[in-house]
Amino acid sequence: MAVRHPIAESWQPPPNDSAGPMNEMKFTAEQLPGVRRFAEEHARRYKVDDGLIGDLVIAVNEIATNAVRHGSDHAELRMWAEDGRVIAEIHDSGTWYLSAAPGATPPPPEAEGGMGIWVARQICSAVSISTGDSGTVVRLELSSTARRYV
Amino acid sequence: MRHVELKVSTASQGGHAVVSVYGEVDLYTAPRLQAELASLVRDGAGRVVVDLSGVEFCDSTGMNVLLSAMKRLREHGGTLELAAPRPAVRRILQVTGLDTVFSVHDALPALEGT
Repeated sequence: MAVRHPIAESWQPPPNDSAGPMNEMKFTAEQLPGVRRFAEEHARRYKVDDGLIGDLVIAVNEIATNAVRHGSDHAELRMWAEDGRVIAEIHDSGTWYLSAAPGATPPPPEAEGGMGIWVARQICSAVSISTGDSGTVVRLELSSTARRYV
Repeated sequence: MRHVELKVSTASQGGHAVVSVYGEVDLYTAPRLQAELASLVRDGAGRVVVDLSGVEFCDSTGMNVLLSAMKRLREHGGTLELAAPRPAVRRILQVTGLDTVFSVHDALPALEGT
């Protein structure tokens, strides 16, 4: 039996039968505005409620920022819709040496940095991180109609 | 790929400064804002108001720049206040919890002597 990479093991390849087509874009730090446009356009295409589109853009931008800041110069965003949810995956080729549960607790009131994953967890219904020698994948899931954080 | 510029300009009078920001604040553009605020800190500004009415988007990198400048101003008895954030900026303030840390004005306050 072939040795499976940690990422391959924990990350089900998108999309499944109930999902729409996947869309992707490659980006660098300079192209983060393009990442936000891409996330917004796809949120509209996937019929995300108007009031939630801004939240999706914030969450995707935070994780995309982490990818090019801490992971690798070049990263990739993949988005698709599935069962009333929008899924956004951000792939980079860096290895994330994880703390036990990054972003599970808020940063101290006046902490500087470390906010991106916390922000994403406030907004998304699920955040999962897969990391290994060949890179890091952060998957964000948002309901298209229900805001988690008020 | 559309490239979004960030424009930052400052109007100073006495120890008071209004920093007007236009565009989108993110990892790539935040250093522009950081440089402007650092120069005000160096010049010993007392009260700094950041006019956010022209900011369409700000991420946590931008929030950190504002937070850091506020701390440095406070070390010298100064203040940093935010004014007129649009809904997208209000949302990042809320989600980061920084709406309780910053003094946020709905509209640009009139400064003394202006």
